[in-house]
Amino acid sequence: MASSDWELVQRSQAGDHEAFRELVERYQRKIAALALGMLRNREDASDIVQETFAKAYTNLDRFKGDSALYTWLYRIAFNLCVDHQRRDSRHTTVPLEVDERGGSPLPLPEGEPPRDDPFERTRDSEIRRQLDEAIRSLTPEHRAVILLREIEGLSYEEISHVLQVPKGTVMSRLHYARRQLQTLLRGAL
Amino acid sequence: MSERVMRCEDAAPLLDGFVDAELEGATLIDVARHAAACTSCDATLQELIALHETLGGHGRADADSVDLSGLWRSLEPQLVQADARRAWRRRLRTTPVWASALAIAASALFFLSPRTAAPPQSVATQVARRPNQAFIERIDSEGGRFELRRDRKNGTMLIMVSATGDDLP
Repeated sequence: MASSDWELVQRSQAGDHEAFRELVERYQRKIAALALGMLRNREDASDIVQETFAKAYTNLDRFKGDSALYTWLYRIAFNLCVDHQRRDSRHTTVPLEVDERGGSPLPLPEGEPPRDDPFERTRDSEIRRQLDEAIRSLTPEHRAVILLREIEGLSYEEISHVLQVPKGTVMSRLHYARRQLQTLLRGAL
Repeated sequence: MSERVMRCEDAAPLLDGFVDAELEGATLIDVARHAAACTSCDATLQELIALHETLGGHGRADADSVDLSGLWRSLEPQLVQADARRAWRRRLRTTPVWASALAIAASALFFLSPRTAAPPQSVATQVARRPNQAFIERIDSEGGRFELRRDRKNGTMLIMVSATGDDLP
């Protein structure tokens, strides 16, 4: 039976690296999704994932289990992303529809069959480009709330924990961000 | 049983919560009833659902493209360092308070005590006690009086003396 997060945290606090490795494997993709959504750059996202877990391990003694581990990890990742954007104001991003590692197309959303139709592929790529631009046009706070809700599926309560803002603020940010995206993606959806 | 009638202006701010399943049961039902009868609110709901599906599908696919294959290899040395720092912090925490206070006080004494250029008294005393010393020269300077003496064993020595010519202890 798989150990609970809290059990793994306690073992990690005692210096058990294998337990921490299990936590890393459990949450690395989720953190990557948030980081990539925030920074729109794969290499930066990969760095943020590493920094997040390194910081989490260093501060593991402070985690008391009063919130879910993943909301705590998200909070660390979000703060690192904001710091990264501030630090690197000359931030250059590579559009995500083009793979900067070799030009191969990005994988399709999970569960979707491969698209043989060139028209479908072009349309998919176009939606991705527009989506990328639309998300990038949001402020980090609005971007985070959209990513945590739409991609990670966090509840309003959990998002308020991650971003350290009241639930009402989460709701208003989400409403605003969605309207922005709908305006920018009109015709693509 | 009376049914509440919801208007568009009441429903509009609740549509996000409806899509996210964040409304309470009764409100959820009221919004659903309203949307079923209102083409405008129903269209807004459909747009929100389409946005959710587009963002969710593409976001997850993008995340899968982040290369995390070397993550643990890069992370593990950092964990070892963190363990060392944590052990050091724990050790500090378990050090008795009096020991820390003593160490701080000793450091303060060392760094804050006035520094005077003391003459090499031990050498002077040692040399002054030896019988076979030959006086070479007396030097008067602003800082005091010195004598240059020749010692059989130790060679030529500079010794600080008092105004009367006695060796200083």
